[in-house]
Formats: sequence, structure tokens, C-alpha cells
Amino acid sequence: MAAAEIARRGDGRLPLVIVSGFLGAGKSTWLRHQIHKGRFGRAHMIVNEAAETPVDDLLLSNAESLEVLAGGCVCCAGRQALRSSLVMLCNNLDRVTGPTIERVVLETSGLADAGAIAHAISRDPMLSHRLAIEETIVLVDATSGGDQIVNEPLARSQVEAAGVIVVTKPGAADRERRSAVAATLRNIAPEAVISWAEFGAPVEADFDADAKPLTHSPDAVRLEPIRPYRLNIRDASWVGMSAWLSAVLVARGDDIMRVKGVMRTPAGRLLLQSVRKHVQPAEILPELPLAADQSTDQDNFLVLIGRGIDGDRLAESWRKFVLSPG
Amino acid sequence: MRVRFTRLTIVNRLLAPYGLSAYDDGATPGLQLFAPTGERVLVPDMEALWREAGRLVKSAIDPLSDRALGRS
Repeated sequence: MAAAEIARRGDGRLPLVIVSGFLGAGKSTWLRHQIHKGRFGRAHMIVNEAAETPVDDLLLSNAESLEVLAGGCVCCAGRQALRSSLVMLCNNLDRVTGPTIERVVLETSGLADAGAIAHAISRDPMLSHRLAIEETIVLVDATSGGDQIVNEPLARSQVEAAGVIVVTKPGAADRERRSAVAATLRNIAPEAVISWAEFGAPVEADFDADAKPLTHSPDAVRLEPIRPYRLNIRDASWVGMSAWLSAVLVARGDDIMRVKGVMRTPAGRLLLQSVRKHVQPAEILPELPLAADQSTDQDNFLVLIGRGIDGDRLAESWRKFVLSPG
Repeated sequence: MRVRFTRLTIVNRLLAPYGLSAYDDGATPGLQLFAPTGERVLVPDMEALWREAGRLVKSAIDPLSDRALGRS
């Protein structure tokens, strides 16, 4: 029997694992460790980033094969790209007779609703015959996840869709917080299997099983949705961009969850990231083979993920302060 | 040196609407920040610069604000 057939389920469908979780929950860290440990076997990884920048894939090079969908979040703008990618994958597998992949692992962007993706696949006449959702794993940050679940509708939807919940960074939260997160998760997703992980590895965590779930904060009612905002770097200088960004983060850091940028320079591709309000030192990224149809703008931009930001104002500020010639 | 000059250009563009300016002597690390009152502060990095500038003018240096964009 060909390995391709062994790998598949009794009904011939290829298992699909969806890994989801809010921005900064630690999806890539967890996945990197799990793939290294062989949890998913020979997996084809699909990494989706709402920020349209293929950066996280660098952490996941241990997978059997890897694909990045960076054209928007797969639960909305990038849904067609995900569908095309899955259809092509299934068609390619039909032609393979030797050892092949055992499953597909989809790492969604932090802004994706895993439930919406699962629903779209199960309703798709073609994909539903070819793929079976094996499990939906949702990662939740022990330190900030509890508040996100009760205050961010998206974070709550992610947890509601989970079959397996992994609470990350338990060591960074005190017992009271761990207990509150566990109770909140139990309340929203009573059927889900809940475990804890530190740097991707499973750990035991001490918590009070009788704690009360967190409740919605009234201050959070007016929260606007979190959105990615993209700026083309064009010929902006690295230092100019960093200077502008540091000012934006000092003024608006509470509303900006994440910043990522990739910039082409004579020294190679540079990665710029912010962690909370701080701009990190630049890292040099390995060169990626560029497809012929990829313009340089696709590899030369900055993305801010935040809420309550006026996109026009952001673009105007970017033009006025960073792009204008000296 | 050219890199420091480019940085200083952008920093001064951002500070100008607030009546502040910065100077980089190219020798000492960090930047010197000048208030219209003549007050001068040496700041070690960008983050400190924006915080100190905000303190001097009693308003955050916000590149997206009406003031920075010249809308008000």
C-alpha cells in the first residue's frame, strides 16, 4: 500500500489541524516546538499572516513542507487564497505515489476566526470531500488571554471554536491569574481539552479549579476592531522609519498591538518588529527566492496592527515625515 | 555619520510643529533636545527623546495628531 494511502483516514480524507490564537499568544513558538517533537508527523504547514508579511515562517523550517499565505487573513480577505492552496495541495497529492504528507497544519493569523475557517472548509463542496478537520487547537496567553477573551469578541470566538486549548506562558502569570484564565476558558469552551505549555513544551500549572471566570469589562464596550495597516516603504531610510515609528509607539503604543516590517537594503532583508511599545533591534533575514511576479513592494513594507487608528492619517503622516525627500 | 544625519532630519521634522529641535554633535551618543525656552536635555535614545519632548511641551509628540500634520 502506498504511503499516501496509509497516511490518510479511513474515508480517504486528509486530516487538517487548525492552530489559532490571538496576536502574541505564542502560536509560532508552540508550533516550532511541537513540529520538532514530531507531534504532527510529516506535515504540510500553511502559515497565514494578516500582516501580509511572511516572517513567522522562518521559525518553522522543520516542517516537511511549508507555504505562506500572506495576502490577508484567511478567514476573510485571504479566504480564496487558502481555498486555492488547499485545492492545489489535494490535487498534487493525488499524483504522488511515494511517501507523502500525513496532514495539513494551518497556522492562522492572530486576527483569524478559526471557527469561520472550519465552517468555510466544511461547506465547500470540494474541500469537504478531501479534507477532514482533525482538531482545532487554540493558544491562549496566560498573562493577557483572560482579559482578551472577555473583552475582544474575536478572542472569544477563537476559544469557542477550540477543541484543544493550550495556555501559554503560565510561568509569567501568578496563580490568581492562571486560575481566572482556566475558569474563563472552562466557562466558554466546556468541551475543550485544556493544557499548559511553556516555550512550546507541555508543563503542569498550579491553579484553583474553583476560581470564578472573568467578566466583561464595561470600559471595553467601545473597543474598535483591531486591523492591520500597511505602509509601503519605497525609498524610506531605515533610521528615518525607526525614528517615526518610535514616536508613534510612544504616543499610541496602547493602541498598537504589533508592528512588523521587512525592508530591502544593500545589506540584505532587514526585519523590524516591535514588542509592545518597543522597537526591537533590526535582524537580518535570509534571502527568499522571489517569484517573478513579486514586486519589490511585497518585500518592502511596514505593517502596524492596532485599533482606533485613522488609516488616512497614518498614511499622511508616513508621507509627510518619512517619505518626503530631505 | 550619514545615518545619524538622516535620523536627525526626520526627528526634527517631527519636533518642528511642537517648537522643539534636536541636535546630534556626532561625538556623544544620544541626542540633545532644545526647547524654545532655551532648556537643553541630553537623551540617550529615541524613546527617551519622545518622552522628554512630550514633557517639555506638556503634550505627547504624536505624528498622527492634527498638530503634527498641520491640520490645526
